[in-house]
Amino acid sequence: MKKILLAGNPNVGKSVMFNRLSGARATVSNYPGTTVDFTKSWMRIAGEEFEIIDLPGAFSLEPKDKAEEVARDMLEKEKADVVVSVIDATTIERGLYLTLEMIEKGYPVMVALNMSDVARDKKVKIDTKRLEEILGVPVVETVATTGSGLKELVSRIGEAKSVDVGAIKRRARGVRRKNVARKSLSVDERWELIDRISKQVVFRGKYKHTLKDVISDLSVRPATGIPLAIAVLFGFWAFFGAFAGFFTDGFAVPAFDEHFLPWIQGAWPAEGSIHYAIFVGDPEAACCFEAFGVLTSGLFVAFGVVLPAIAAFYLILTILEDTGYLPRLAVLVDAVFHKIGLHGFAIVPTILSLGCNVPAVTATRVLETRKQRFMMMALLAVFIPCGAQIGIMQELIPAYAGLILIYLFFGYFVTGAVIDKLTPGRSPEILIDVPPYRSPTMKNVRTKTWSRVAQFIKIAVPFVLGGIVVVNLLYWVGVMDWLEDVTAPVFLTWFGVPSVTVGALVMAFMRKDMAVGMLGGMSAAGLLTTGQLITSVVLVSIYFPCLATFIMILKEGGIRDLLKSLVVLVASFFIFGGLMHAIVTLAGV
Amino acid sequence: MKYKLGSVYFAILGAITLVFGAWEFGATLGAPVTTEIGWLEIPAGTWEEVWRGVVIFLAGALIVVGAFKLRDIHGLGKAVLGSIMLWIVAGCDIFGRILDSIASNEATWINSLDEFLATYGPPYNPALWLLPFSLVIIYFIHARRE
Repeated sequence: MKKILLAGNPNVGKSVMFNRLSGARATVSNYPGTTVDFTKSWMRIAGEEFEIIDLPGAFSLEPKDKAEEVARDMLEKEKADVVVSVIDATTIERGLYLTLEMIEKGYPVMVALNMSDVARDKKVKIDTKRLEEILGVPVVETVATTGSGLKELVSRIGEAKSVDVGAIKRRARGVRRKNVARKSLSVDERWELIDRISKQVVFRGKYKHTLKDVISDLSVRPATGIPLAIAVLFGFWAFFGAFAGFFTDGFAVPAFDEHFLPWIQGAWPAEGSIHYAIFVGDPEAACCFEAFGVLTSGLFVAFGVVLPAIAAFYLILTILEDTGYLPRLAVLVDAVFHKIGLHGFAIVPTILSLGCNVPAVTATRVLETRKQRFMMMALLAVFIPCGAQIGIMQELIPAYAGLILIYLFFGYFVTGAVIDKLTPGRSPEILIDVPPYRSPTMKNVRTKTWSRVAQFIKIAVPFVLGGIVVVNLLYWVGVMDWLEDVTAPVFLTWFGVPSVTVGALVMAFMRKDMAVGMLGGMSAAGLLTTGQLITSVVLVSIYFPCLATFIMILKEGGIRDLLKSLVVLVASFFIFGGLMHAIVTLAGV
Repeated sequence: MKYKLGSVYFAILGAITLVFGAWEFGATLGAPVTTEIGWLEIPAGTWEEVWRGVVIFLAGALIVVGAFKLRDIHGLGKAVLGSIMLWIVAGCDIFGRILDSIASNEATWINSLDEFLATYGPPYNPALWLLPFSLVIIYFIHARRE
């Protein structure tokens, strides 16, 4: 089967084009680095089946981060029949750099000048015919978001070919005489050639700043951008709380606690048996948080609490991504993140992590150095609670959930600064394109939110249900009682919490949201005071990452990074757990 | 002329917004202020209200700064940014009211018609009172475009 590769700089619309061409549903957002791995699909052109591959964005074939490395390796490995070089029509120079590199490598290239509508708005005119003459490969103007130009692109795919870069140089100079064929150019020669080409094909008209440009500019200036960021994050939090609370308190709590729980407690046979304990849990429990059975707490937490919380989170995150606000936030927080050896783009995996740690660990690929990736993975795993956990915290301790988050962010920055000092390696400057603000499309918001929620359910629900089975079995065979006895001195003296908390910590290794739910049950049963509940929630948060995140860190960072992350985790657990105990004691909570 | 009037209008609106913002976070932080006057209610009590108050205060500050140079695109931009911040807070309040009007949090699931309508009645918080007045900025955005 023939292969088409879509290559280009980050955030030029490759994934939108990929979705349009193949009918697939690759994740697209309005910021660079959304695609950190390749995506494959298939399409039919003139009766022939083609495999189409969407590559991560790259500025050059000399990779500076893991995502660029994936793009280069795929280009080398896949032996594509056609490489479509997708170029941002508003700034073709940078796209031409990668295009020339691909031409030098001998790949059969064609060029898609994408976002040509934005270029027109910005009074940038490109002489496509002349560009095609110089490059010697097909050049097509496209607007991937509307599908304009894609028909022509597909119809000309057969014209893509390998060309000699020496010939491009001659044509750009207007020289007819034949030189010896050139295989490659130096960096300076390449930029010189790009300069020569753009002088002949790009014409910039007089562009007047619009209100949109001014708002965009104000969003990255600290004096105006920080107030906006405070407002946007407030909106995020308020929407999250209202939406999740509406479904959980309005419908799930009455449905589960008043109807389902009493029914199943009576209907399930053989109270006191092992299967009753595993599937229903406590026969006297008054609410699902307290019962701790697979069919009671498990279903209630997974679908009644976590699902609305995660849907709310991803809905608002998708809107923020598609408007293009995230890269502005990255620029704004750059100075703060530099203090801990990261840069502004670290905000992207951090915010993604507030949804689910698993995709966030993958998103660390956009960071350039191994040091930054290790730091980010360790900090995410230890200090950033996922949306599911935040949802349950909001449900159980609404008055303290925000304060716990602030405390965890404090831990994130303090620990980040310490790891930065202790870990050798580089921390390069931020290199980020701030895309224009765009209106999110209903279709993309719907598809992306749904696919993320579905992915989350696929990852989370088996761990929630499986975790309850494991913990109940451990209680049944007496392992948990033994653990409680062993850990009691440390838990009581250092953390100020009773040793029953150990059950939640074991659960936390499977799912942290369910572990917080379990703590809620203990609190409802009178086993924990409010202060102990707060400390326990903090302990669960900074304890081992859940199993899925654990596996992902192992995959992305290898065993060495995983072990180093565990050292960070153990130290943070004792330091920040003990500190929280001191705070709640002094505050008299 | 319209820009002069606009400047005065937004300077007053910004100043009122600023005062309401300070009032909200002041009330939560324990300042001895009233939290309900007729149909006006100042939300106070939780840390989220401090956050809300800060947002409204900063929105007011941006509107005031922008009002002085409303004719200039950068001044208008600041006033628009302040208004957007106000709309975020008011939008969240309206969204919360809509959801509250639907679910009863009880075994009856859905509110009765009376309960549904009562949710939309007064008192209203400052962001909701300020919302219609801030919409005037849309006229200036259109005027600029033309």
